[in-house]
Amino acid sequence: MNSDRPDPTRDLCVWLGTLASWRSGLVKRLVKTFGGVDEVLSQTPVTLAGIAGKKASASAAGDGGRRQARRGDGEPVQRSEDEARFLTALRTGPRGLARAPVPRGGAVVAWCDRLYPPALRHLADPPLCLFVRGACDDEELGRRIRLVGESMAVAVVGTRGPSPYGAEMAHLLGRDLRLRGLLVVSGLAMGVDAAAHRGALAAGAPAAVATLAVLGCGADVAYPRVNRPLYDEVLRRGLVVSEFAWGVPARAWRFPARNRIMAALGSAVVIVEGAERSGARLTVDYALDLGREVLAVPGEAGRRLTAAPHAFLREGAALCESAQDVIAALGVGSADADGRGSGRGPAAEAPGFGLGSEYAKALPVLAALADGSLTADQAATRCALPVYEVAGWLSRLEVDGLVSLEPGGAYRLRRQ
Amino acid sequence: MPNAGSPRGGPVLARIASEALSGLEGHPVEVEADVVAAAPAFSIVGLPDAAVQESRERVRAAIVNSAFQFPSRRITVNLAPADLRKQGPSFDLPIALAFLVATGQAADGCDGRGRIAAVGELGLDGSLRPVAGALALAQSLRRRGVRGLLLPAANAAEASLVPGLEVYPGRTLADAVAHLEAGGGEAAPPADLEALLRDGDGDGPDLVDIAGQHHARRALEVAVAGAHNILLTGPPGAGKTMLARRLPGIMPPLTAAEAIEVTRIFSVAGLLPPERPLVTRRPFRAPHHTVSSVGLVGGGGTPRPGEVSLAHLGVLFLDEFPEFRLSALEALRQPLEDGEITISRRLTSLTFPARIMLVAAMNPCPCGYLGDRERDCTCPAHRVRQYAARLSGPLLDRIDLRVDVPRVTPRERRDPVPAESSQEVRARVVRARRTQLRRLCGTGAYANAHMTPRDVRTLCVVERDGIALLDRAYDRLRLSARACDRVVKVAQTIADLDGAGTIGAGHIAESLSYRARGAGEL
Repeated sequence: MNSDRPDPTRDLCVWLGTLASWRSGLVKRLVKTFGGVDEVLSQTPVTLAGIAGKKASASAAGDGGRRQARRGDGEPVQRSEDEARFLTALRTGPRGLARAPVPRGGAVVAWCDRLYPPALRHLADPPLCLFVRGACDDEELGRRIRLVGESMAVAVVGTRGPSPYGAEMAHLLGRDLRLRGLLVVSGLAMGVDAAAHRGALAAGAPAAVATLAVLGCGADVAYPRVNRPLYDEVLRRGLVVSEFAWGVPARAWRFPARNRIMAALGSAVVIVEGAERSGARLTVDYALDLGREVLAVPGEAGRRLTAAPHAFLREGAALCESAQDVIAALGVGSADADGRGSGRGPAAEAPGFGLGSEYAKALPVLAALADGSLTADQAATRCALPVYEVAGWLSRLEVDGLVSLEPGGAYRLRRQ
Repeated sequence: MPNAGSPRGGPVLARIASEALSGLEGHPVEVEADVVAAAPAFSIVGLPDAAVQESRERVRAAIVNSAFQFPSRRITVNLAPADLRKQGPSFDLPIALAFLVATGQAADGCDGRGRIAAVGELGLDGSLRPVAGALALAQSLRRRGVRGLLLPAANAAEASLVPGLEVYPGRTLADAVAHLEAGGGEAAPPADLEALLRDGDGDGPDLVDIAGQHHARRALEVAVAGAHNILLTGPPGAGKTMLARRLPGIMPPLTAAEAIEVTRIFSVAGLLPPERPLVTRRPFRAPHHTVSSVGLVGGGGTPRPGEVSLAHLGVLFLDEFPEFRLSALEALRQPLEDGEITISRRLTSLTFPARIMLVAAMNPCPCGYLGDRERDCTCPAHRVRQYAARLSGPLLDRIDLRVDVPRVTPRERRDPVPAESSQEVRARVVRARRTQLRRLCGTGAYANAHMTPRDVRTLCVVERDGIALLDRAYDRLRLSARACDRVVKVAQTIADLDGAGTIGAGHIAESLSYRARGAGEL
């Protein structure tokens, strides 16, 4: 964390971290050149600037040319903007950057700091500094950062456009993992990420860090914009981190980079839903390289969104039906503290569903739904009841949170 | 054949009554012809448009080809009042008749027995062609006390729907002259409205043809019973259009007065088929989503009824609802609110009736397969959101029911339960409407959908367990107050179909199944 004593190594970390925010693969290149992070940090700024500036511009030219051909007109503009910011930071130098303002509730954790999460040191190209943000005072922020380093974390990743089932599984995993004292890490993207964060926030466990969001843009940038309320909530009760400097905008190349940090932070990675070429697969690949536990939530065979998890299951990933499976895979004691979150649907429980007697007539409807989701018509046929009556019972069950209506008109029993 | 010119050889003036249409209303037009012995000329004055100007050529040819003479005189035709814009070819006949009277080739035989008006388009051979809006013209003439109407034979059936107006059909200009000289002559028999209504009812697509889709069918029945607007969501090929097309068949049959109202609009729009002078089925209009706002609600230089007026007392079906232009959908708000549409122009302001039931249909996502059991949706999440977001706005507030229309599997299509016919459903709807009319008496509404929030509070009696369910839904599902009102309104309709005096929990529960669901509920 910030201190008033001048610390040239720390300044160097922040400076290189900022430079790496504007140019992909910079740290990797430096580490390759000098043979290790500590060796990099023992170089003089002038040497580093020479290597960073020269080699990068050569590769950027080649890279830029390719991208221009592939993407629209916006890309060269974005790249030249990134380039300008890079050169400004390069010129400012370590000493100058150390004095740069930090947004409210923000802090920078450098490689050489005590609070730097140890899990990230396993990476071949670790971020040289982490930009961290939480809506709290400095003391609390320090406490949260320390907790992140000490907790056992699980990354929940998946598609941005999940099915209702996927969203529900992500939500339940987020909730139940936190209830068992684990830290839920995700990327604050739409879909599975958001559901996992929301689940963790909903768990209402005591004072620990509610959830950790790893962003592909500056930690003070709420992206995507629709997740702004969620971002604020994570700031309030959890922590947002990024290897990218303050105010860095979201760009396509920053998300794969962010995924490697999620993979490194988590002791296990759970993939919920993802298409064949999903970004979530990258996270899992990083996790496999790092030797983390990999779990996959099964889905229906042959569906587009179950391609990625099933591919990993085939390759030997552990099956994840509930938080319990994650606990088992991590080998931490069975922390089924309050009996909640078995992850099984009410179908597995007693046939009464814990409902009042006025629901006696709804039981056949519930029983029909236990075998899979049904439209009102199908449920009516199964129960041999008029459709308007079945529709009424389904609505009451929906009001009570037992079933939900999926897009397409099918009612699904919710996992509790 | 009388000689041209007056017996005294001086200028002669002839007058024939006619009628101009502006919107659905008629305005009297006096066609005057003046013939003087001067350099040959034929001019029409009195704010004529291009079609009226061209009438000169048609009239000239028709007169010559009907074995009358076209003398080399200076002929001036005036269409009075001079400040009313005259449009269309319907003045051909009165102009020709005025000309013939002015040149002494025909005599106006109506003196003292009440006037006869004339409308009709002329062909070059002297034949009479039908004009648009004959019914509206006839009604307007009748209201003004005009005795009879000379018009093309093809329009006769339509005009004779107006009781008390003598209708003199003619196939040619010569027929019309004969009628004029006789001061009327043999009138067409008045139409038997009830017989026409009876004969026309009962055809059209029937609900019997639809296999499965019980929930959607029930939703449509509820919607029709309370005149609620409804939104159908489902993948392509699920049968949304098929269902919607069967709605007019389960709506209460048109009354005679309603049939006349609908016919008048179709006649003005020129959409009345010649062999069916009376529209006997409630209209079903399905404009394409590229329709302009003028096409949808009416307007244009010569304001014409739009789709929403053509669907008056029937169904306006908007397939691919989110694809419609925002401006067009915005323009729908007034008709949905007021049951009519007012079009303002520089000089006039016209009102077309537009009491419709709106049936909107959409895919659940741009590709159409979100939530489908067999096919995967390929839409990125943000596109699905954008698609749904296009619907936000006050128009959605006017749609009381939503229902999913999933694709029916072949197994479900071989449903053992036989489908009900439209006739059976309609009987229930008619009964429910009657109950509503009794309750709504004095509020100005004719069906539950049109109840104000105050009516809902004062007229709808919800039983205690119904209120408990409603409160729970309000809390758990985060319904807005407005959404709650909609739930009660629809529940009232369900109770009316049920023949129940009060709204029970079962009615509320079913009504909740037709409510709108917010995206991303979890």
